[in-house]
Amino acid sequence: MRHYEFVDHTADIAIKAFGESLAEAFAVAAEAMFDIITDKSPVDGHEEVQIEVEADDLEGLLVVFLSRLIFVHEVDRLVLKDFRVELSGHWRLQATGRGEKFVSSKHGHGNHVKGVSYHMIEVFDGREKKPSHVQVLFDV
Amino acid sequence: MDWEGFLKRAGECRFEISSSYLSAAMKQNRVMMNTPGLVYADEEMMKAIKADDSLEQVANVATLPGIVGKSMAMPDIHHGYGFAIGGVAAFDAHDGIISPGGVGYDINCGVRLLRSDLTYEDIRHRITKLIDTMFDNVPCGVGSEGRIQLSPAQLDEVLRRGPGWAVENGYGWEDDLDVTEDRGCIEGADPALVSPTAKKRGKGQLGSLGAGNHFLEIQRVDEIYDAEAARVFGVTEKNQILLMIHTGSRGCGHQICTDYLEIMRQANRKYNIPLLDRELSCAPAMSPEAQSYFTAMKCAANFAWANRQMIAHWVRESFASVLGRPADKLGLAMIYDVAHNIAKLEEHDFEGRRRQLYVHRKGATRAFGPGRPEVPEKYRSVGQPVLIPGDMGTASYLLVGTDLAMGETFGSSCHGAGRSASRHVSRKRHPANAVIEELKRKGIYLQAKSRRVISEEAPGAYKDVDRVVDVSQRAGIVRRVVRLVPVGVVKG
Repeated sequence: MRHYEFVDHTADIAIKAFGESLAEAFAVAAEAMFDIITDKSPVDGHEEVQIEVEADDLEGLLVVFLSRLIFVHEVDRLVLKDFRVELSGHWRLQATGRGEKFVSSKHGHGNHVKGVSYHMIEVFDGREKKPSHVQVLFDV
Repeated sequence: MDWEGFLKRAGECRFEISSSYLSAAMKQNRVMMNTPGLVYADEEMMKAIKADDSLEQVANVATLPGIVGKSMAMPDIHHGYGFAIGGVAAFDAHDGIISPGGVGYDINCGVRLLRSDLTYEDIRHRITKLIDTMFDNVPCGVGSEGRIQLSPAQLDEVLRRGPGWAVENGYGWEDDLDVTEDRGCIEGADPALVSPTAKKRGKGQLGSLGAGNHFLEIQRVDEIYDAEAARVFGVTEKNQILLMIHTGSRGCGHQICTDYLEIMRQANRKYNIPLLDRELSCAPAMSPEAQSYFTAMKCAANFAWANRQMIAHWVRESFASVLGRPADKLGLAMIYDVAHNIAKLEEHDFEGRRRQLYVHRKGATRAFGPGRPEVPEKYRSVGQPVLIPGDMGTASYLLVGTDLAMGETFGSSCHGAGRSASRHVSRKRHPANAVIEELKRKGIYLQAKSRRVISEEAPGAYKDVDRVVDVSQRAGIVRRVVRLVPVGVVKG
């Protein structure tokens, strides 16, 4: 259930991430983003990062969450994996990810993700019809 | 969508999207196109353009309040987010809107071109060394940081003044500023409107290339079409060596776009502007939200000009160290630096009136014709240099703006080849080794941080830049001056 796939887009990179729950789909989207950034090289997890964000709606929450991770990657120079996400209220997200400092010789150079776009965005909560999924377009 | 009945030829290399087109989303949101769409393309290109959603995006932009003239798209149009890439739209400075989506994440992504007194013969055996040195001297790739860390006060100076700060601190020559669009500094930039988050992303990244389609290239003159204009730009012979830098405002600009998209989403609701695509979010031009964005956008634009200024300085240093002569003795002067992702407040004559307009160019280059005061004095008789970066295997162009462009596109033209294949498809079709070999056969030496980027940026993943430029010239919105081909490439 927990996986993602690429969605065709000419200029940028769009992914669709699936999970048992919507929170899991958010976590998969975060992991997909780091696959895009790192060339899919293995990330060892020691350092734990906690993130809390809020937004006006679920789509906004997804964009704000992933945008915050770009910030963490660029400013704290971290690459992350193994995300755990909790969603609550209207609309709040708490997440933890584990990882380490980005080292180009180890993690490789993938794509530079500039931003997380609202274009083509989809958030589907599969409480009644599994799986849940989110779709998002990264500007690269 | 086959556009039957809504798309018609409208003169040489022009197609018009009828303003009677009404998509399901427009019906649902109770909006209509305020003006027709105008796409510059030939029949063959139009077939490909119809295959993605870019025409829909051109039509969507035409619904935005206060649009002046048509919703336009250049021949390198392709599916973007919100606005199509290759899109140009002008909005009235009082009754119109400003939209961060009409600029994009990479605010002032643009191109800088340097000339030299060197010929291909002079350096053909040094190209590997030159590229390797540039690759070492200019930070590039994912996670690349600049060679300097700016203090908060220094960063504010860069945001406010752009390359003026860099030149003052020894990164470049005073006359570089004379041939930078707006002298590299849009007045009114106020760092107070840039978030701490954006500043944190910016402070370590000044003077770095980034990744993706950004590049440094050593190019040789392949063809001169207009010897007089070329001479004015310092290009005099075939095989003369030129240097091209293509990059933008890095994390600083990306974060400014991200921050203001959220602010604009709220503004959209506040001002009751229907949204066909969330990336079209906007606010009335005179509103505090729009003006704050515009002020922050100026900061990002200035940062990007400073970024290319620092990189140009290290490229000059690389040439000087490898060739053992100072950069000024090699004639490494700037030709021009111009943005292709930006919104500008400009004055244009439209339907017999002088109008103040916010011209949004998203993947489109300003192309002012002769005589405009914004064109550097030494170029004013021929027009503004327009710099078109191609993919790494084919060609780039130096063009000039025309009077016709002033009247029709608010002085705008194309910005590059435009992708034809997605990155995903390109990775499957073009393994990195095959791309490196193909370039080698063409006499092009490539140095890149990422093998994935090599595959994705394969020449086969791009539209034919010669055709894009040819259509632009046939439409009369630019004039060809020089065709350039790469001999050495640095990629992120």
